[in-house]
Amino acid sequence: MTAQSLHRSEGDLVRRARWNRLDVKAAPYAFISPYFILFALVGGFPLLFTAWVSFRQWSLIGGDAGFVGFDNYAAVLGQEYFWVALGNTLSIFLLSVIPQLVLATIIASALSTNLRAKTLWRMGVLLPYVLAPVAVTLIFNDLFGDSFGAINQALQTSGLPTIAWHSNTLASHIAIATMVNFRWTGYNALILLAAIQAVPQDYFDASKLDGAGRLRTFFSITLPLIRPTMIFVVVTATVGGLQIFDEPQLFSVLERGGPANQWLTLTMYLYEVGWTQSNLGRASAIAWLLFLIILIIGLLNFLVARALASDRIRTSKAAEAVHKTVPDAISESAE
Amino acid sequence: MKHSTKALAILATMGLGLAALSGCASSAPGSAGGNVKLTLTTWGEFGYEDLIKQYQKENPGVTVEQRKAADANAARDATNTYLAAGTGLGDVIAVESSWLAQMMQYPDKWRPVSQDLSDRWLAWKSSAATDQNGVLRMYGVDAAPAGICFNKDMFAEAGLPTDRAAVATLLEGSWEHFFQVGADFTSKTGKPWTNAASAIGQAEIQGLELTFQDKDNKVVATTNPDVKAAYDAAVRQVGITANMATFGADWTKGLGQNSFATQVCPSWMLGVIKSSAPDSTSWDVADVFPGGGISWGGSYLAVPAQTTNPDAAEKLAAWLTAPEQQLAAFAKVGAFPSQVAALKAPELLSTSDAYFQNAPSGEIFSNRATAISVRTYNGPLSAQISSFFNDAINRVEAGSSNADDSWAQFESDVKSLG
Repeated sequence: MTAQSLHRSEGDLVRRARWNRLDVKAAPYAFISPYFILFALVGGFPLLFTAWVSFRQWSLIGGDAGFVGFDNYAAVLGQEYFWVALGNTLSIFLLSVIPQLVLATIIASALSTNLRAKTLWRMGVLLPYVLAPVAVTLIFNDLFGDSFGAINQALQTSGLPTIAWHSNTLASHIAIATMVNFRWTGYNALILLAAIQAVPQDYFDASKLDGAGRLRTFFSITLPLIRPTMIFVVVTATVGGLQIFDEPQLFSVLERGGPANQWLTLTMYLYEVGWTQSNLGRASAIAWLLFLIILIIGLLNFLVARALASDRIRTSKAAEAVHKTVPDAISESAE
Repeated sequence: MKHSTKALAILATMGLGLAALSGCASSAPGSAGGNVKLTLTTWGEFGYEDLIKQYQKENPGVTVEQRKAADANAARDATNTYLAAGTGLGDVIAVESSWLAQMMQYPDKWRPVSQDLSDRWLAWKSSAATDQNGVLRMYGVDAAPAGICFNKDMFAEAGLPTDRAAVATLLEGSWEHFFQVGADFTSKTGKPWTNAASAIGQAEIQGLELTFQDKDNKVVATTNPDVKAAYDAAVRQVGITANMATFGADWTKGLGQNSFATQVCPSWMLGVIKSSAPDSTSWDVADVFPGGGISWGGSYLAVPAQTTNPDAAEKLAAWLTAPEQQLAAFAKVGAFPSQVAALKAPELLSTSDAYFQNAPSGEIFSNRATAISVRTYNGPLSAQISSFFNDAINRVEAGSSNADDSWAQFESDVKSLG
């Protein structure tokens, strides 16, 4: 560096300083803007456009036919179909999400132990997720056929009464929930496994020293510490579970919700109103109502999950004193 | 040093970006050079597989890809979606007569049929596909007269005749007579007489001139006494039906497992039965239909206005629906011709079907076609109301509802469409 290059004008330095500050302040926003721009285009705009369409009479092929205010919403809420679909959606949702999460947690804690061929097992649970949902549904349909399905054939040969999978409402919900669980349990298990593995080993060592059994460790240490991940899994399962479409749509070859709408979900109803009845205005109203329902239930689930898996590690008062000193003792001896 | 590496990095990124963009551009399809690829969308069995190979041989440079929808309803939903989107329909699509009226609500979305073909088809076939200005928009495919397919092995078990002429005499008469024979059969063998009550309901509906909508497209489904009568007759037969709705998974298996003795058979059903139960040797078809003769279904081919190969598409549609090609399709899958010249052709009367015990299918369905006395009027909402009607009967057959509650549900379903 010569004296000449060091000698820059005052103005030059000030400009550079200003650019520098702009760079530091604006660069982060520039880096995250692609995501938000994309979201605005692909997520935000459709959301607002759907709201706009829901206030108009809009036929699928005929197009826009004018403003109708809240007529579409009133019509949809006045339809028995909407409430039947809502009930079915909630029922399938509960039947799928609760067993899914329980099973996923159990599988995750099993996978976190010292198994042989660990990676094989961990990849294995993800296989159902990789299969195309349509293919899985078609194969499960063979299992759940009323007259010729594998399950009913087995029940018949063992002398038990067959189950009317396509007539009984609850049976159809269980069948659909089974298909959904088959697909998503492994996926959720792996996410929870990652969370379990992130729990510091110190806690487990301490609990072993205290003589805590596996179950006690699981409920008092593991569960509370994977709370953030648990909340994430519950919320995503909620959002996905309330929008189930593939599995119920293909449950019957007629691709509708059953003769008495036994398994008609809200998204299926949306599709029927929008594309079979060609009424996009009403379909948009259903879409926004579904959006609001998912928001409310998602929020509820978030609060429930937060309450169930409290942040504090639950310990007995006597053990608390020991807990406070043991980790310090370990780290002291390590030094 | 710092500046040159930075400049190098920028240049490299720009270069990569340009390469990627140019790659995208060069992969765009170029239809230069006379090579035309046409998409033909159908469902079920139209019998076009061999015909397409023949067309490609006679027209070098033209490739035809047949896409099959799962069934007619799936094809209708997909057609609605692509019509709304303005692209994706392909070059030639099949349209079923039950939703033809829905498609003809937008006549300018379909390319008109060439004038010199206008008298190729039966008058009633063309008139349904002609718009208000007298322009024919769709190419008629098949006419779909209906007979009764029967399972000769199950008939033999019950002591009923197995010769198809004798079966025709046995089943000749009204629907009540058909149900009576069925009740006797079921009480003797304990097996179902026919596949589903909803199939009976549909068959009865097809025998009426006015069903769910009148000629002004006003919805009369709930006030038309004939519709209620058909419903009542169908649900009364629930004891002698197998609860296997047509095209369902159970029905497809039931065909091969001798689960029911008769099946209402429009001519196109022959191809469906053949492909669903290819190993069965029990099915035959009789020249009879309760209550006279009906036409059930029948399709058209249409060339959407959004096609990118209009001339080639029109040529293909016109060729596929020519009398000679329809006769070939009839021999293969039972798609009975709606073309005037084909109906007079001697090959038609001599066609027989090996799967159905060498039944003279040409003769049978010609007779059935002559026996047709009414044409059902289908309005734009008829297909949707027909689904509700089927659901109403299915509910009673599956046991989820009794007849009165199910009819009340049907009434509220029909009202919800308005």
